Amino acid sequence: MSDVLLEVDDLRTYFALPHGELRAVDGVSFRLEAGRTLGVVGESGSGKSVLARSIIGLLPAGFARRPAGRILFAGRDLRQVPESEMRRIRGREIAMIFQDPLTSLNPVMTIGRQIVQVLRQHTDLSTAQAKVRAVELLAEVGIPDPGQRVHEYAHRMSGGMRQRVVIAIALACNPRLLIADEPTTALDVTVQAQILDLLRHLQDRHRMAMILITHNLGVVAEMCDEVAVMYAGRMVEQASVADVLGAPRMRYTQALLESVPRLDSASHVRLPVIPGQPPNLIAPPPGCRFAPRCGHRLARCDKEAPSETDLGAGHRFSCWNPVEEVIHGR
Amino acid sequence: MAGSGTAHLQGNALLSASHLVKTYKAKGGRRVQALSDVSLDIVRGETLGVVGESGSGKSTLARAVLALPKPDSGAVQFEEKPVFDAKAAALRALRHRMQMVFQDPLSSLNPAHRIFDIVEMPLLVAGRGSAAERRRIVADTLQSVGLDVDIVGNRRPYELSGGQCQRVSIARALVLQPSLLVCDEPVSALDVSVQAQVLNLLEDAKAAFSLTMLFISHDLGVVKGISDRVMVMYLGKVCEIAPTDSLYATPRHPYTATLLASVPSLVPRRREERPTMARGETPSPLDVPSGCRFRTRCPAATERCAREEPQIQNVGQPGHFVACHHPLAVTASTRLS
Repeated sequence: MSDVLLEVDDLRTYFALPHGELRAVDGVSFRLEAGRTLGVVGESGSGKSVLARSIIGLLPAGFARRPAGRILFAGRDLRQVPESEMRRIRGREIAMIFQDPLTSLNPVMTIGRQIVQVLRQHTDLSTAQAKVRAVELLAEVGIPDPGQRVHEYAHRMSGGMRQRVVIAIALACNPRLLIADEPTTALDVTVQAQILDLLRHLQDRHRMAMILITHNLGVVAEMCDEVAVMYAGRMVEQASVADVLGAPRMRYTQALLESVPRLDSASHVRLPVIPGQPPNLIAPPPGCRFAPRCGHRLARCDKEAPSETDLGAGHRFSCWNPVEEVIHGR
Repeated sequence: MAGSGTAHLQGNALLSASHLVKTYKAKGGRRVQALSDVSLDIVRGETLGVVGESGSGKSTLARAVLALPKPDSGAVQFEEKPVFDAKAAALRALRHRMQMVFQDPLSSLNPAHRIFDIVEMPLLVAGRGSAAERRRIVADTLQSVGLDVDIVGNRRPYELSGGQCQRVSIARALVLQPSLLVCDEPVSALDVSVQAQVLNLLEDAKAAFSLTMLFISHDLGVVKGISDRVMVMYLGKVCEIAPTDSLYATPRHPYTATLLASVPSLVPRRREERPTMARGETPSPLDVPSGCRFRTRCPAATERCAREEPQIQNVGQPGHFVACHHPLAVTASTRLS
């Protein structure tokens, strides 16, 4: 039985800019099952954050066109849901955490009050009950001495503790989907390891699906079941984490993996580079968007956008000249 | 960790810093010791990597060796000359030989200046060459970092990408042909594909300009790739310093081992809780622990660690120094992959 929680179909989010229409997300489709984690990886400007904000309906007013396509969450198209209902869904059923915990928290309100506010908004708890629950939530995300810390302000806490508070707020109402946009990018590596452990532990416990947006392929390897690679507004490859990291087919995925400096690679070895930079999304290349930087480009790649190849088992990619298949077990 | 001492100094170095202490004033008359008795040296042609987390003092260290600003105490010898005793003109002349590349390429370039002017500025300050000679040197230097003066010379920083701006920063640092390049997180603000370009460029520049490098980063993978030796810092102190392969293969300080174990690897696996890892976060630098500064998070800490600060000492392997009362044994479990 397929237990699809979120199904995104041909999503397009364009921004109206003075000198043209910027195609931040341009035809993205994927599915996410309950309790699973999808990693969305890509470099700056690949559209991964705009994708997340399109799903949860938090695009900047003014510039953004209403997204085209379908966003089916638990059977309902979120694009058709009125804003009043969307406000109920956000926080209650879909929660989001951002990169910088300090700017996500209100600097002039104690963290306890911020949690109580969310609980009062979305549940039937009384203020007194919500206060008790706030302390429980802080304990659950591993904040020592939660009964005291509930009265603290965000600026008095370390980066790791702040991100724990943000996670506590996000999980206050037991959402079915958590969207985490670079949740550990601002943190030190030893703190990052602890926050990743915490997220995984809480996810198992609450049976929550997660979309984890990151540029860090190591974080993906540790956290995700499936991975989607984005480049210039498109999803160029999707597969299980083992296939994306171990047997990528799309040339950009391969190049991205090779350019990461690893702990087990030798010193003073030249890193394979991806020349040039991502295309302008107001006037993207007509064919494959990666073609101008690709070392395996064919004449066809410049003219014609690659169609999607479906290898089965959830592995899909778009490339005219893909990496040859790796025999598993080698 | 958190050790003092100079056992790890090699002598005969291009740059030699000893007993650097830098204290910043904090609110309420309190003081933060950002750098607490740190010594290091770099021999000619070497790249020394410095890793550490927020508050470890690594950026303060980078600035201290250039006297930007001068630390509270300690001494730096560069090309056999004392840096901190140098008077204004002599210090300026020394600084022409030691240049710096900063983390954020956009904010370290003047937005109102053209790229040509930015790269020419050090030549003007140093009073080098005629206008025509300067034009040629700037063009050559830009070319060596992969930029064409005819294309970018008249542009301003905001018209370039982050990677291109970092190339301009490197060109500006190289234009006086320094012997020492200090890089403070030079690729941290860049995407991974661009990061690889800039790292390769730094290696090329090192060969072309016979550079010696002090390379600061929080990214252990990046530091591994570029460094001959690596120094690990924690709360203003040195934990461990060793040749790159020795440090990564057999970390002897519990903090180094924790750092390495915290880096997510690209091998897909559901990492389970790491029992030997230090938990918690770096304590406030306003209120550092007594003795070894790492002891509050260290799984191996004993009562001695609270009482007595460990000194930097050799631990058997050549060039491998650790400041720890209970260094880890060289076992298979400390080896990474």
